[in-house]
Amino acid sequence: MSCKTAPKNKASKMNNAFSDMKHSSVIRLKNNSISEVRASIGFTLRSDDSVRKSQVKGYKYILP
Amino acid sequence: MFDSFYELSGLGNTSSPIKPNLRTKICKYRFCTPEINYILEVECYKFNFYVIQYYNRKYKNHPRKYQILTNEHKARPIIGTCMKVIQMFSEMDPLASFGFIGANSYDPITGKEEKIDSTKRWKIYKYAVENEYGPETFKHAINKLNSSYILLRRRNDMAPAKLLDNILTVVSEFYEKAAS
Repeated sequence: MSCKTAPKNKASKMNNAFSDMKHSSVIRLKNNSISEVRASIGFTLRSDDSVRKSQVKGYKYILP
Repeated sequence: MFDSFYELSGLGNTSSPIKPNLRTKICKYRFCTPEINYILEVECYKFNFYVIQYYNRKYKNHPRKYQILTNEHKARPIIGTCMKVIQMFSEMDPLASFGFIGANSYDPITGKEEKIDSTKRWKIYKYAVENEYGPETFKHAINKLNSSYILLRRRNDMAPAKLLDNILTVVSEFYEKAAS
């Protein structure tokens, strides 16, 4: 039984696809809108109240 | 709680070896605890964003240099030193925002490694910034999943959400874990 090899251009497409998979996170970032990026990365903005509630004695510094 | 700190000695600035248009430079400092010499680096990114990181100088070439515990029990003054760096950079750049990652601990002897979400370091750093800097100067943003924290400077020209988006777009070019 002979082993069928993929045509050259098909192989290069496969390589590109593989390379895309490796960098899928970056590609996803480039395709998505910027607020979707934030959500996909998992960052959340904390409410000021939640920061205040976590404080033991209140903050010390107000920077310029 | 984080009032004590170590004196910093400047070791100079280096330009970023990759993507210098996004990460402009890396400022290096040294500080010494009674037993250990530390290197503290501040990576300077676009949008006035600064990432603070430090490691034991002895492990400067170790792939897990940020993760190794020294067991010296000097966390308070070391974190106090990082708080001083925030003040120092805020004086130099009044629009400065700051970020850090609480690296998951790694024991080189037993090979044990902490999970990357909500690490012990991240909880301490979070406690420190909550108590040292309130919500007046910075809008706080967190990511429990990869134990990172961003202090977003309140500025007139950009809303915190927009600033966060811009910073994350830049940072994701450098930190793979941030985007996975």
